[in-house]
Amino acid sequence: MNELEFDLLVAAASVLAGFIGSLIGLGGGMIIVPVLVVFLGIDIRYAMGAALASVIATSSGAGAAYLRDGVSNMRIGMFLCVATTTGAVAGAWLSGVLNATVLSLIFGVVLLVSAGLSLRSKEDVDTSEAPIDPIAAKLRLNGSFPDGGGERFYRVQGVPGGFAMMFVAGILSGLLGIGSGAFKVLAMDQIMHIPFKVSTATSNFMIGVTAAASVGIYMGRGYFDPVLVFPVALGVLVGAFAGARLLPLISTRLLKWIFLVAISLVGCQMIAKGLGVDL
Amino acid sequence: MEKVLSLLMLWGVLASAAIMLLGGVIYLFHHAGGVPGDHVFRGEPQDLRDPFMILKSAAEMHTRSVIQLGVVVLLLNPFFRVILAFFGYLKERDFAYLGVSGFLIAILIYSFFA
Repeated sequence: MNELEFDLLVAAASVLAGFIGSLIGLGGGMIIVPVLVVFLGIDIRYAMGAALASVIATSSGAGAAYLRDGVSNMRIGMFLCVATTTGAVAGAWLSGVLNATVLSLIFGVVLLVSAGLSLRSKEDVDTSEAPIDPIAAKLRLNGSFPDGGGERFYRVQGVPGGFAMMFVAGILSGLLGIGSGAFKVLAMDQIMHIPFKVSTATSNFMIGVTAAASVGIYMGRGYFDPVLVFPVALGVLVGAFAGARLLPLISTRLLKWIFLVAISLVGCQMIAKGLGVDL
Repeated sequence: MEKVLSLLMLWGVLASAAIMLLGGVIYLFHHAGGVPGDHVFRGEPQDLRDPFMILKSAAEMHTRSVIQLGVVVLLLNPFFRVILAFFGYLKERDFAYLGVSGFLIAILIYSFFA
């Protein structure tokens, strides 16, 4: 296989990863890394660098639309980014200390957990009449978003717990070159009771800023191979865009299950790779 | 502020995509028959690690550096996002969030040199 064929293959895989990622709500980075590592035999550190770039691209592209439509809450995003960026710097540093097999192992576990998290119910708790959390009030995190013609109000709860969870999400992002959106949304909608729509939109905004905190460290270590980054970042971006456009048009339930099973298998394979077992 | 920010994010990502695409197409035009080399981690050479050297060698039309310049533009997108927010909060005299965005700028700058 020569360079052109290889890059075309990588680009095709990335489009697919971006597409599937936006369909089931996992980031493209989460899917493209194991594809590059398991199927194309690329070293996990190059895969992480390319994935990190794709994460910033999709965050900027999708985040722009959410921000314009007033769904994301910038105060929540900025405030929680304090935790995620700090975690990301620690995680990126850690990624240089751990070897590739350990990284594969951790990646596999995180992939399985994220896939599991995407299955939970997306029912919102109505917090419009909830008691006002003093920290949330002081930081002015409470807000509203356009929902079905009207504005829906929410009151943010559990700020310290959410902040702590965001630190963990940041570590994972820096450690594995992913957006760790699943964990960010978990912190916001489960711990802080922020409506799911606002959580995903705000997570999208945060992912790019979080990823930026690992960039300097990744670049300094030479994780960004331009020849790999460009088909991956462009491919995931195109795929995610197409996925977002087609999402309302296709029935996703069955597709979602098929992809989730496939991704879980890939996650197991990453774990096997980390343990040195050939499947 | 949200409107300006969302425009910055969108145009930033489009600009970096265009630069990467340009560099990538020219690169593949010259190296289509080469052997892909990402199976073993070697770390990229210094002129693809240092932003200033990337800029310099991209200006000389080294195609790998042109792609890398697109990567740098992409990576700066969130950084500018935070800087813009900083000035937005300054204008609104929102001092708590001026502090928050100031911290984010500081940690991003720190991470770029870490």
